[in-house]
Amino acid sequence: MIRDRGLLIAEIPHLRRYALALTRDPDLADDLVQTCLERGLSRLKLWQPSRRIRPWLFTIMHNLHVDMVRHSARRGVSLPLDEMPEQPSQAAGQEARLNVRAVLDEIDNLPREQRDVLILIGIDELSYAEAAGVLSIPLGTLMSRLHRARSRLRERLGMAGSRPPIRRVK
Amino acid sequence: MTMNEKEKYVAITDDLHGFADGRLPPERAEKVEAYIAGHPEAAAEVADYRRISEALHEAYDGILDRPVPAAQVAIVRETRPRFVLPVAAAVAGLVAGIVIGLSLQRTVEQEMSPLAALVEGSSAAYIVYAPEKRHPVEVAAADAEHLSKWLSNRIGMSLPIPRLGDLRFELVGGRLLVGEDAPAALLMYENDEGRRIVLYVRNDLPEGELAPLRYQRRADTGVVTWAQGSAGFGLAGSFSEKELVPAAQLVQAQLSR
Repeated sequence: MIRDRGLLIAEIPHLRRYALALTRDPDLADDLVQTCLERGLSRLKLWQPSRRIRPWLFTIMHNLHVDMVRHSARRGVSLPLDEMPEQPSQAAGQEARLNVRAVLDEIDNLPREQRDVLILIGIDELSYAEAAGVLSIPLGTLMSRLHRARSRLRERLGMAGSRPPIRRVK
Repeated sequence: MTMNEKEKYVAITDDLHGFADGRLPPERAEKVEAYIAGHPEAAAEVADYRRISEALHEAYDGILDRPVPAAQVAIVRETRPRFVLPVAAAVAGLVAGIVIGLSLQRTVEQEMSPLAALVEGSSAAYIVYAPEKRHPVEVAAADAEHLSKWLSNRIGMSLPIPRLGDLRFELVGGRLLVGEDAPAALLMYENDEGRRIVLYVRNDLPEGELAPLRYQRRADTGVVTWAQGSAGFGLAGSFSEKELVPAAQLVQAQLSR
């Protein structure tokens, strides 16, 4: 059990990144991580150690975020989406990179279900199957949402039809 | 585009995403790579998918390297004692001896009452052994019967293993400790959250002690002590009075003689 706590601590940075991507607000993200850790701890016994802990925690976080958004929508509070995390200062100059902010803004304009998929796959933490599990949707649904999300972004960002440089990422 | 090619293209839409995300098995990835080499529009799609993900990484990866707020770690650690002694069992045993020995020495110097010594002994045993990951006990719960006989023999009193299942604590096991004039016994329990408590038992109190349950705190360790005859008991853990006293009552009820 103590070992499981160690695993949980090791996951915190990844939870923080996911929370930040979901909320785009450092304070809200911290709240989300905190609640997620509390929830995770109280249910640690339900986690099957034969499975990876990250998808399990991400599922908790996803559901908490859904509640958070629903709750704030009901109360008429708009989630701040403006505060951007500081961007790495490293020179971006090799190729024409996308304007990060523009991409994030367009992601926020996606229908919620597409945004969820795009972020989860985009931050590259989980397999497709694990991501589908986190969102409680079939793999086929995940893939079609991913496709719709990315197609829409290409359109909105004026990418489709342009001739972008091909760059290998990882 | 021929009909054939079109069919093929539709069939591999998912593969373009899989390829962009680096999630295809190598054979499959090779096929897609060959395909997009001859299909610029597919190559452009893949490149765009990657650029979108890149933007996410650029915006959010920085946090992976930033220090985790102490408050978040504390949530997970909360139930553990602050100072974890990162030692192997043998060393832990030695330290236990020293810690308990020191507390006993203080007993002598300050003429600490037997009950105060119980508090010290219990909390020291908790602090030393509860954080142990690999060797928290000498004899595990699976050998509970043997454990009970062994400890009973060594401390010179009958020590049946109390059951705390009603409070969702299960036995981890037990070990023998250095007492004052005689050995002492330690039983360890763990609940489903991985939080532990230890029961510290001595049988070398001045005859005639009868002390009711009493809760005290030592740093962030709570201890409930009681005594009966020459037997002294301490139940220690990072729990509040409200949580620890019922557990002590349950133990006391089972060990009363």
